[in-house]
Amino acid sequence: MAHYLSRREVLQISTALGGLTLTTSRSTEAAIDLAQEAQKQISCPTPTAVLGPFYKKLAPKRHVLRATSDPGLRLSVNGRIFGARGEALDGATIEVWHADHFGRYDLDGYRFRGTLIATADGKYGFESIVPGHYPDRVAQHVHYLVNARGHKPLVTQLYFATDQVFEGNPGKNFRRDPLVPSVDVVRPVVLTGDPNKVWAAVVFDLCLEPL
Amino acid sequence: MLAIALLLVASGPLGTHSLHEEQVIRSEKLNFVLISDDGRYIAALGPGGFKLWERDPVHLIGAFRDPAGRANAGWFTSWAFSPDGKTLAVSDVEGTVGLYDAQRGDLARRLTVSESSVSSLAFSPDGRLLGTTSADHLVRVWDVVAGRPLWVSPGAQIGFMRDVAFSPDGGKIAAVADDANVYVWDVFTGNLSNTFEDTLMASFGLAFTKDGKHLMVGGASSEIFLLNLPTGTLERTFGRERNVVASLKLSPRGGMVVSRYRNPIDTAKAAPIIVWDIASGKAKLKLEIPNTHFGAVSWNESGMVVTSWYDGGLHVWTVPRLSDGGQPR
Repeated sequence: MAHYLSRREVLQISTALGGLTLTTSRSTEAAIDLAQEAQKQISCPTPTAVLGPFYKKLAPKRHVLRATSDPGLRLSVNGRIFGARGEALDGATIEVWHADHFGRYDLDGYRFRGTLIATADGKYGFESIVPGHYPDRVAQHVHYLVNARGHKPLVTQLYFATDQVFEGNPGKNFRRDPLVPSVDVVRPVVLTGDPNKVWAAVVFDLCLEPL
Repeated sequence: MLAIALLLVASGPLGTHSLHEEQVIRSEKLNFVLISDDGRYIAALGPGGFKLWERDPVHLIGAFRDPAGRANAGWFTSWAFSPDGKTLAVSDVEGTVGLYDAQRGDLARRLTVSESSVSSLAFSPDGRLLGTTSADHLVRVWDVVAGRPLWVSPGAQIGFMRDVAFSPDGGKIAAVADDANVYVWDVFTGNLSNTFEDTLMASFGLAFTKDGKHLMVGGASSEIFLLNLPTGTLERTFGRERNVVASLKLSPRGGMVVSRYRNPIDTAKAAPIIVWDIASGKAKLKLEIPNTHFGAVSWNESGMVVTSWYDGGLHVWTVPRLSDGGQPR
């Protein structure tokens, strides 16, 4: 009989692997639940990180940023946009952009760039690939610029607990990239799907300050 | 001697440029190189601090170390010579600007500009004012003699400001930011006079035209935007290249602009310098040397001086008398 891990055991293993959770398709839902549970402890407002030199205006509204031929581990990011009192920020705009699998930003077009609109309950999500490393920057990351009525714009970055830079312990090692502002923005990664079609799932909730 | 492959691409006869390597200064590994507008002084920053040379003949004025021993690439953020070449202003991550006497080679004064890192600085054309941008997103104009700010103004709301410049008449100051906007203030009132939002991506370098009515900016979009200040509009773009624009400098008569590039992914990789004719938008000269980084350029009536470096040497190139028809009408 297969042994199914308890929620506590999964959390312990997840921590030991630097936030990486390996799932089978049967336990995917439970793993995502766990990631969301951990996410409830987000700090508010979300720690900010630099905008960086490669922000590009007018990114198209779309939630699939990758093309089927793009190399790299498939990535799915989901989350919610909150205000400081925990209220969902309906209609918030979330601009995301990141480097390709080889660490290159698209400066000519809008590959791996998109604008998302939060739903009535503040949810957003996008599909892409896990960004690569590049020489001038230590850790893999996805840039965020979030705007919501009545709130200060939030500029931050999403990092991956599985990034080799953190050596399995982002709590201890997140400062190895001096631009990572807090371990709060280094998110656990759930590897899921079937063996021939693995993808990385990340939950990243964000909290904006009122004006 | 390092074998150098030099690529020249020009719209006119190559012979008129007669580019040659004038000097090689042996040095430790370098991170940044600066040259004064008159071409007389060269400053270079390496891991052990920065050094200052008089160029002709080559003479080491001094090796500068901050009194607290912090003068290294991790502490340094930006620098500029005053227009008369006598003062070297060096800013740092702690929000101060050191004003160094270029002739004596010592720290004359230190201004406490900000509680956060200074991101860029520039002298006014008469050398009396210093403009700074900093990580607190504020722009300041300082009276250098009095050592106090004339005004402080909000800059880009969300992005780092990477370069700042005064107009030729000293009446305007402009800054470029990572939010992809370009901001222009009145120097005497501190009021924001223009915000250009037509550049889709961040600019890293800027230069006013000779009459001060246009501003050229370039950066991640790998082309140069000609912005019209009186109308507040983007007039046109030119000078598309595969690398990103790192800095811009206007020719002495105002007909050309020299653009220094850098590799967008790996700044350790070499990237060219290109001289563009502003009216036609065509390249007049391209310098590209494998494994070599170009530093700052000085350009006056006696010619252009280009600095470059590789591990172990600082090179000085002279490009006399590029035909400069003056500012396009």
